[in-house]
Amino acid sequence: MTAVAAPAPPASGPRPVPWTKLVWVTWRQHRMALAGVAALLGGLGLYLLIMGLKIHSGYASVTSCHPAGSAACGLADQLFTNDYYPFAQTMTGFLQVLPALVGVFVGGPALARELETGTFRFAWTQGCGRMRWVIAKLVLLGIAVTAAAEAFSLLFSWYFQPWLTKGLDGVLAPQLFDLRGVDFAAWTLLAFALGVAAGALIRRTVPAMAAALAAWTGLDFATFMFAREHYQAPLVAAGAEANTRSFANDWSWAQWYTGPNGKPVSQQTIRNVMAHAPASVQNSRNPDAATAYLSAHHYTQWWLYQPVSRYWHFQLIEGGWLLALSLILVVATVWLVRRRAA
Amino acid sequence: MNVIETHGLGKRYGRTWALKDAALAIPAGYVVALVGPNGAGKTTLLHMSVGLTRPTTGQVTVLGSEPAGSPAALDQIAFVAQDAPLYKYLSTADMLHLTRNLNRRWDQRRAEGRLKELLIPLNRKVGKLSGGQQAQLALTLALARRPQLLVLDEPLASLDPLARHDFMASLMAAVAEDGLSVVLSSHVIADLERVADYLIVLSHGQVQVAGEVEGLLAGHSTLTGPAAAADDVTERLAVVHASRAGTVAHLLVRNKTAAEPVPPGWEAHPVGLEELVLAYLRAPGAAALPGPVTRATQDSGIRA
Amino acid sequence: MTIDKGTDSAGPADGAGERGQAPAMVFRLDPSSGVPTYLQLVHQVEHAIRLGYLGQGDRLPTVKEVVSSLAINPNTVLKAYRELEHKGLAAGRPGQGTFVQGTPGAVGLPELAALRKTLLVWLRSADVAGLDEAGMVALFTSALRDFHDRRGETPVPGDRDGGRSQAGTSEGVA
Repeated sequence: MTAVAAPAPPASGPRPVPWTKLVWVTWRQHRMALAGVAALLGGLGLYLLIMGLKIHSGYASVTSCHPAGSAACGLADQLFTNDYYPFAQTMTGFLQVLPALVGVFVGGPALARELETGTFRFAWTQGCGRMRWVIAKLVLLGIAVTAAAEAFSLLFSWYFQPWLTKGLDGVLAPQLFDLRGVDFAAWTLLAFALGVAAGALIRRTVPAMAAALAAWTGLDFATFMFAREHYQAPLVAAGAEANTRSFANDWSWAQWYTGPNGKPVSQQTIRNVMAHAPASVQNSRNPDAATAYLSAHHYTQWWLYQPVSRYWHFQLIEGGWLLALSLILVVATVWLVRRRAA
Repeated sequence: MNVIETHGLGKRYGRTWALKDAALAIPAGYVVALVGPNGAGKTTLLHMSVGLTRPTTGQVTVLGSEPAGSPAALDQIAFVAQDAPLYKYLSTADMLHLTRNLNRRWDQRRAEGRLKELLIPLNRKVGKLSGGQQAQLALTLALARRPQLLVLDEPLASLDPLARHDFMASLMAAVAEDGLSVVLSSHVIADLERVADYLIVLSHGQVQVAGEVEGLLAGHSTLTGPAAAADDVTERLAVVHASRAGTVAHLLVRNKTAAEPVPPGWEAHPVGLEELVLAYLRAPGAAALPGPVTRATQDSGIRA
Repeated sequence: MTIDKGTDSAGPADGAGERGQAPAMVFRLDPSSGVPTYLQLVHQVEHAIRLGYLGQGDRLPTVKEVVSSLAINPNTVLKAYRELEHKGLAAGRPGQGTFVQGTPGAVGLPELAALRKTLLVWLRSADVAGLDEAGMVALFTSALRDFHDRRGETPVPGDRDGGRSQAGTSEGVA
């Protein structure tokens, strides 16, 4: 009982929808989120650029000051540092949350919003099918946020460089390590991956974003508190070697003293010993004076540290496992989408 | 070709069976009405047909022999879910562009022509359109894909009477033009009476009725007569539903043969679609299915 | 029933642009009459022809036009048009539409007047015999059915008129 002949079906299976079309779809759907990220990173980046130019020119004049070593140059150096360094440190603290904000802001709503509003019932019944759709979305957005994060990270490194050259901070220092190299981008990608996975599981935008942020924070905390120290067996330095070594660039997080018998002693013991030191030692401005006094009395100082030469090694280890974890999360998300009942 | 065919299809959520053991063979070229009360399993059945949900038991094939949800099925079947989900933050034009990019086959001219006829502006955000306009937009997007089968889940539920009429008129015009098959569900039978030529009645997850409307109506009649003699008649004929008041009884019977003689003292009247559906909904054990009878409940004269 | 001769209403809404000739009539439906939709369409065409509003060669609305205004299944319209073709009242021309053809059964006005008179005579006799209105209708319908049965035609459409049919066969409309 057909009114008119039904349209003829294609002879063979349908050709899949080309990926380029999905690029437009992803872009159009996530325009606002991407614009938000661009505004945030762009705005901060502009600030870093402006301040960075000032810092670099200031540093240039400090280093070209002569006679080098004079009181006047020393003073200029001091002023320069006081002008810019404290705020740079504050900046460093503030930027710690940026990867989480960017990643979760883009990743959280990516799937959750579709599931929450029911539009997935539209999207997943189009000719394209849900697999292509979700893969295009996750890959494109993931690449976008990672690339933007990396660009920002490079800008930050440039901005902060003078302080590193001056030795005020080491590249392995916890608050700097995850803003530079590949780490910043890797943590951003992880936040994105956590966001999409939470979205696919929880199916509500705000709870998904909250869960992803919580998970990211937990991982971040665990990493810089515990994990990073152990990417390679830490080195130990003691006594004379330690005295001559500057730990400004290396990363040392634990130090202790041993007494004449070679056993560790408490800080209280050291304070007691120092209390008996002559006034000249106690009031000395030279930090080595106290150390020399202690070692003369057979108290050795020990450090546990990671040498700065291991910087890139650590970056790649951390970047590597973050990337792996992100990939696992993204694959799991795609699998969830595939299996998902309406 | 059967546009939707199911064998032993069932879906369980937790411990509840939303749909149980559904066997259907819906031929192409019809406007199929899927009716039943809320929670009967209509949405579940439709979602499984378009590949949104996986069956717990059984299988569903579409358009002949394609598995539901396969790329070929997705290509040829357009689905409009309940409340016509659309991206509210996109403009109408963007919505068209997006749908075009998600499909292989797209008739832009047709889509734009329809929207122009319906006076739906292209540059307005979808969220700012009225309910009726959004429903029409969803229909436009589905039709512009040039599908072989169009599936609509309660498309009229949130529309006012004028919007409802316009939507159905629009849909029927598309059927007249393209010859596509349509499956639409509703829990209001009156909406579908004028357009359906194939009927499926779903109640408590079970298919009670499935068949061509013409055949179903010809195969049933209402007998009106004395209540005292009702039980007698019920013994001999397949009564779907009986209603009595005082001395008069109305029995909705399923005619076993083409020209069944009316018991003396009884009047026979033809049955309307809504009357038929209501009778079956009131008689959960009864069924009017093509092929072998699936249930045989003995229940005060109600027979399958 | 609205009759529209179509000469003064141009524009795509009437389909004039599509087929080169505007449709001669527009349908309306009475959903509560109990008469199946396709039969209502058939009756409206027959009525129009009988009263002279539709003439030979007038174009009936396309399926799409009918369906767009009434929101009914296209197959219903097709069925109605097939029935009209079967009765010899319409003919489809491929690619152009369905057109009114021949007017068999059109009875001239003097004949109508004579038949009316005979009918009134019969009604008076029935009244004298004690039949009330419902009885008269029942008797007439029964006789009409017998007449058709003897002629081998399909049952009278009047069977479906809202509950006023009498004891007899329980056929619905085939």
